[in-house]
Amino acid sequence: MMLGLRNLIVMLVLLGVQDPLMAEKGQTGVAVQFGEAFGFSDIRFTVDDFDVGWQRLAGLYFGPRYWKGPYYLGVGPGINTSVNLYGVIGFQWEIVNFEFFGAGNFYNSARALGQIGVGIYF
Amino acid sequence: MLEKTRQLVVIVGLTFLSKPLFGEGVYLGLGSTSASGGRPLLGVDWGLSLPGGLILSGMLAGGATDIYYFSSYTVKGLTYHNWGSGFGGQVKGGLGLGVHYTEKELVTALASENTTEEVEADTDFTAGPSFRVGVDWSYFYVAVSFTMGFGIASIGGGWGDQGVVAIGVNL
Repeated sequence: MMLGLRNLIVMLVLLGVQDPLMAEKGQTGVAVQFGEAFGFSDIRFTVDDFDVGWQRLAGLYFGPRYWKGPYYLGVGPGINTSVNLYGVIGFQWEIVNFEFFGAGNFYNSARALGQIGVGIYF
Repeated sequence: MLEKTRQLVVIVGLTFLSKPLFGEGVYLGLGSTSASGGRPLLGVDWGLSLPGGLILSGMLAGGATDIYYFSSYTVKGLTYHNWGSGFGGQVKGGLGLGVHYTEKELVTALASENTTEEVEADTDFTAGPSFRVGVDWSYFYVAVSFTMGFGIASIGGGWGDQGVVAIGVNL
């Protein structure tokens, strides 16, 4: 309960300190995602639509991001205890996004999460 | 044995009958699945490209011993578009809806049970949004493909993810 309240406060503060920005190509910024039980699950730095981040399932991951209107897609390698593949597809409205993020290697484990996030974009 | 035969028939049918009857291309691959809740389990990933940028996709996974079997099936329909070039291939992805069915059963009663009652299979069914993200090369592909089972826990971000991260061939 306290964790959810804290995340909500963080989101509201971030919403309040910057101007709204429509999702578009060529994005640069940083976003934080919350997954199961609204726990922290992902931090992502984006420079000109190239993502580098850490995610609970994928570990350290990096890859290009593609856009179709407000919808985005990302794919690439991740590294935690093994090298894996991640794929993400989502929707961004202003600075808030929702996405499905899946990751796994080809021989051992695979999982996916729904994530809600908030970012600051330049 | 019967279960393995049934899965083999499904795979062969999907591979050789689907494309000439319905589709524009077939994906067939192997990879790790989430069907066993974290335990290593290989599964079959398949996809059938349809006209209009759609794809019918799914996963088959399972295992069996002398006393137990476990089978897991997912089928989903998605939009599946080309999003751009990357990694030397075409990056594709889409969203849709899917269903998932799991069946597990003891086929031989345990001696300690000391019962002659027939044991019914334990089944689970879930449905929800699906997604598939992948990279296609000429003859090969990789894909992350999941159905996110919807339930009350989804409100708190807990989705019943059932899917596969696969590598395979484009037929």
